[in-house]
Amino acid sequence: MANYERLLQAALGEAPADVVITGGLLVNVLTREIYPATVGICEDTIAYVTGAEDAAVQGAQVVDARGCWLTPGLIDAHMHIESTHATPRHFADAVLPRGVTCVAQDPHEMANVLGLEGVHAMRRAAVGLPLRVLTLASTCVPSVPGMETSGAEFGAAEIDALLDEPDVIGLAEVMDFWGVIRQKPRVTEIVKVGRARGALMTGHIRQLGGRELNTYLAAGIDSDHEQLDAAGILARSRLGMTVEICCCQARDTIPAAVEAWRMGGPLDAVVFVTDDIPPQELISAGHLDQGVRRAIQLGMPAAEAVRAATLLPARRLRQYDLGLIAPGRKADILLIDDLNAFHVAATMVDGRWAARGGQMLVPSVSAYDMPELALHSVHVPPLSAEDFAVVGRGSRARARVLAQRGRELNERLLPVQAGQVGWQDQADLALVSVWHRHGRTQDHASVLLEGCGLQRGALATTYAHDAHNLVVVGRDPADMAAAANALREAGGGYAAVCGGQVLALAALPVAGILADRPVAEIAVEFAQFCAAAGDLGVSDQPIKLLTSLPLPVVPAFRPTDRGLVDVQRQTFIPAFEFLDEETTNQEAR
Amino acid sequence: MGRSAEDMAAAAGAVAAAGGGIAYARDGRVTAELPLPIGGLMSPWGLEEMVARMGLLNDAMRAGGMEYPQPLGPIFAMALPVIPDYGFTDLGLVDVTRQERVPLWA
Repeated sequence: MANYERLLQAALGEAPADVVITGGLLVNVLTREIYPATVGICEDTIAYVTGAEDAAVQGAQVVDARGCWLTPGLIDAHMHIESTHATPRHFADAVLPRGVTCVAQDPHEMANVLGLEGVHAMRRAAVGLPLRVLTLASTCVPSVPGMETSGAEFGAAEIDALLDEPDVIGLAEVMDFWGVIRQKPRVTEIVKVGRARGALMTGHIRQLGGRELNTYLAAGIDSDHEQLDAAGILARSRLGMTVEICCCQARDTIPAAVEAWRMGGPLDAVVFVTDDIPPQELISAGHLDQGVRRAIQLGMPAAEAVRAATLLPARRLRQYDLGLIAPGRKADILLIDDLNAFHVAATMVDGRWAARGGQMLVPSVSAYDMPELALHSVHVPPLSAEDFAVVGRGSRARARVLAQRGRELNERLLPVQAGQVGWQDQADLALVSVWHRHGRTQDHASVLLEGCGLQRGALATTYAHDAHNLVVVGRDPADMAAAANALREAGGGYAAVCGGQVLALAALPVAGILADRPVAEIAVEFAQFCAAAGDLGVSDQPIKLLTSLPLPVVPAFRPTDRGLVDVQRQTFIPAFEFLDEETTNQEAR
Repeated sequence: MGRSAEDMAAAAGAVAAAGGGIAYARDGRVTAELPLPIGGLMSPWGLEEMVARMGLLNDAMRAGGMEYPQPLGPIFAMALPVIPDYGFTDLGLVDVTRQERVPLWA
């Protein structure tokens, strides 16, 4: 915090400011005006904002901002750093040049792998970075108890302990909305802890309305980032809900937000968020800046768009000293050299320049080393081709086969030969095998998948929502074993294998989900993996195929380490049923 | 505040006796009074009764020559040493902008 006496003297003009930014146009996100202004900064705090012709300008550093606009630093109210696959310091170096100065992270993936240690690792790895990292306590660890085994389970006690930390400002997305509405014990106890402590409680729901939506809000959970249309945004706004507008390309809700602004005027109930940004998207399209850019390009006034990524998230996160260029607020300021393109020329955090011209001035350093347990997180034995054989009985098997990447389930009769289900003669089938990798069980389960495009070889990952077990998809059992073993040795990541050769390996050795490397380097390896997967026949989003196959909250059928899950019924169904000779003969007749 | 030492003493005496409040005296006699016995600032009555008593007090003050719509306003404001340009406190006359006491008599 700035020295109080110096700050006031600088504000009054009796002492020089540390930095004075003159000649620029201030984007006032409170009044939605844009006008010439001079901004004086003392240490980490804005001391004064005066007119363009302030004769009393004196500062240790006077910055000529002619031709630039000044906006507050961008604030991302809901996001998972892990989606970029970079450790916090490399994440910071990727987003600060794009104008993101504060994030509220939900370290949900690290929590599912390493439990409280994972959350603490992500908090501690952010200490001392020029990026402000606030943390929301991950509430759904695992996402669905009993359907899969993740690395940890959080109850009320874990959430209570996390809320003791000063940088943990609330509850992260409470995804188990049916659990809230139907008052299931685990999530109810967690929500009660949040209520008792007056914590911010953020949510995530799907297709909820009417009394159910009211019930969720009555519980005190008052935000969501489901992809909505304009009418949906306004409907939720009317109920006092903060609508988190995802700007990630997978669920771009910015056009709907612009439409809602056209229909309903000023949007005080929305905040722009990223949720998940893959490394390639971060490098090519940007982070939260892409949301502001797109909103402006679609016709939203710049001050309105910037407001939804600065002042409104600051208020939502209860960070009242952020999100506005005004005296007494933190000096998190962007210089924008093209407002319509929202192009960030320079980024200041806490009164210090962090980035300029798309580059960090100094790469971020972290004094924190990831703990040993994070660096050895792939607890599976060395695997062989036999481990990927589908053992059968009788002469035929009725296989339940995932179709449409898990949205549908088909049945297929397959021969059983020499005690194994013979599926490889059917060219459109691949085997999905999910192995528990957190050392808590020996579970693994396999199911067939049709139409994913894979023609040969195998793909594998340790980043698979939400339990992040080892997922192997293959046409060839020996290649599946080789892919699994490659990830075992690398400490996790993505691997593509064919003919026993590793075609591509994107190593993610921190908890099997992160790399302590620049995002640009990670993006290159991901692209190489995607190219290799394309060569093997999976040209349509191979990463999405692997990472979202096992998530047992996404309709309709999901393979986990414990078996094949019917998501709607929340039960297991057998992936294979074996028909003995007698039954087969009966069916034949 | 007053025009007659006798009336000023009567009003002050009534306020002191009531444990605080507002009083108006004329011709040596208190003609309207609003006791505020809680901290000298608040009354135990409901808002309606307060409004009625305040109305009687204002009527009496207007009858005495205070021609303001809210005769009490200037009296309250006068004692505040943060409202420009001068305030009058128990310590004397205050120049608000300079935050200094000013001698009353040269």
